[in-house]
Amino acid sequence: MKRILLSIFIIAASVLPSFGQAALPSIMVIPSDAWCKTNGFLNAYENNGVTSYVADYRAALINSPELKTVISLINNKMTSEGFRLVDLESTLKNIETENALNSVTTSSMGDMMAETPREQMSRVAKADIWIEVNWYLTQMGPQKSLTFEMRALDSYSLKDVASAQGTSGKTYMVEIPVLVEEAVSSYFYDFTTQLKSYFKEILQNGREITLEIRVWENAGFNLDTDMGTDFLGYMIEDWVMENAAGGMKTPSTASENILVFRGVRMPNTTPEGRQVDARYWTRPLVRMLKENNISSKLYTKGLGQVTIVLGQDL
Amino acid sequence: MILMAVMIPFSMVASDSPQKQKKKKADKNTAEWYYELEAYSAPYRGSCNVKVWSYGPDIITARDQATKNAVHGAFFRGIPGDPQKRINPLPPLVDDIMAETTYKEFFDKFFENGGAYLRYATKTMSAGNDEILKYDKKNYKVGVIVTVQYDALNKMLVDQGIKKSLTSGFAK
Repeated sequence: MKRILLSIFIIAASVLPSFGQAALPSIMVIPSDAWCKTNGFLNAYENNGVTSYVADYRAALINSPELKTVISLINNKMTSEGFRLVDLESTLKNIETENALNSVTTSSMGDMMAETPREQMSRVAKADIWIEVNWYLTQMGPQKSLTFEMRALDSYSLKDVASAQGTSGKTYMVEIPVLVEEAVSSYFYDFTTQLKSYFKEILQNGREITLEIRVWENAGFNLDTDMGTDFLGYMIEDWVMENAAGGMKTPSTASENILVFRGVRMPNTTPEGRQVDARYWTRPLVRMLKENNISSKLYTKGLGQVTIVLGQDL
Repeated sequence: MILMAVMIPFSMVASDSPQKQKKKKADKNTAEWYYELEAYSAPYRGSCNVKVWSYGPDIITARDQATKNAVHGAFFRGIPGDPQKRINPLPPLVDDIMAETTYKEFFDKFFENGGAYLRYATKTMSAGNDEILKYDKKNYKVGVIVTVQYDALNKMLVDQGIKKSLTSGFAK
């Protein structure tokens, strides 16, 4: 009997540590927009008088061997630290293949797969942490030096969570890949020390996300509508107050049609131990709204932003 | 009886060869962080070259102590940078200030003569390139270039549970 109890205890002990723990953040290394611009891989688009920029990572990876070197150097270092790396090149190739397959996939009735423009746009490379890299060479006569920058962005909060930068000593002979490799080795430990403190904070206080509540134009109600027990806006605010893990809990914007909570922290796991993302965390809120006869539609942007639009569910 | 109690430790000290005593003195210097580190070149592929200035009663002892001092420095002091050469400093690998006391047994064994520390550091140049200074009447100060396997040391500390990995606390 004792042996059985001991075996149960050992099995439970081996399972428990992974249960209820936060998911390991995934990491992707990308070139910064500044690097893409300097090297001609940033395309500008005019849309209603507004210029927007889109980096052409695919072209950058094909044309810049140094970029590949930098990405694989950082990938190697992060992998040896135990992280899951999302490789930019493989992800881009995967999206291309997916697009090609989707365009020729039809049902027996000849129907195409349903996908809204918004869904198409959100089907992009995703990772919890983006590591942006930038470097440039400065030539002074026959001597050259390399300036290197590396920063980590949390894709949930879009906050800069770690950064390291510096310039190498002047040199005559050394090739650029070697200078780049020296730079990565020089700044990696500073960088990971900052990342470590950030991860510690996430584990203690939960992840920061943005929750936005909006109302459709012809909904027939707004956030100032009296629901009997309270005004709708305050009911939502109370829900956030009760369910957020810590940090900012009051809305950064609050009006009759818009309620925005920035930097609100969601717990890493549910009380049952299930890992949580922004969409899953707001599930009880959507349910609470439905119980009060408010239909809603949930949209996600990246991993850490949820927009709930009230008034229609289709 | 009292005379024997006094004589036994004395005879043990007296039985140590002069070379052993010199080594003990050099180890004491390391344990008391009595050495200096100077940036030599930027780190590359997980290792870095550092100039280690060690003190010892003779040149050979001070020179031999350099590898131990380099690893000790990488653990507890970090590798200094050099703004003129634009070399970035590297932080100490042991990030818990109490670790030296908490894991005393491990570090004592690691740094014992001929211990595991030798796997992680190598004197990179011939003895002819060393810088030798007569420090005072009893001590020499010797500067030696040592290559320290910084990444490998970091991994060893994590594997031994002395340092938390970046991913600790997350579900794997």
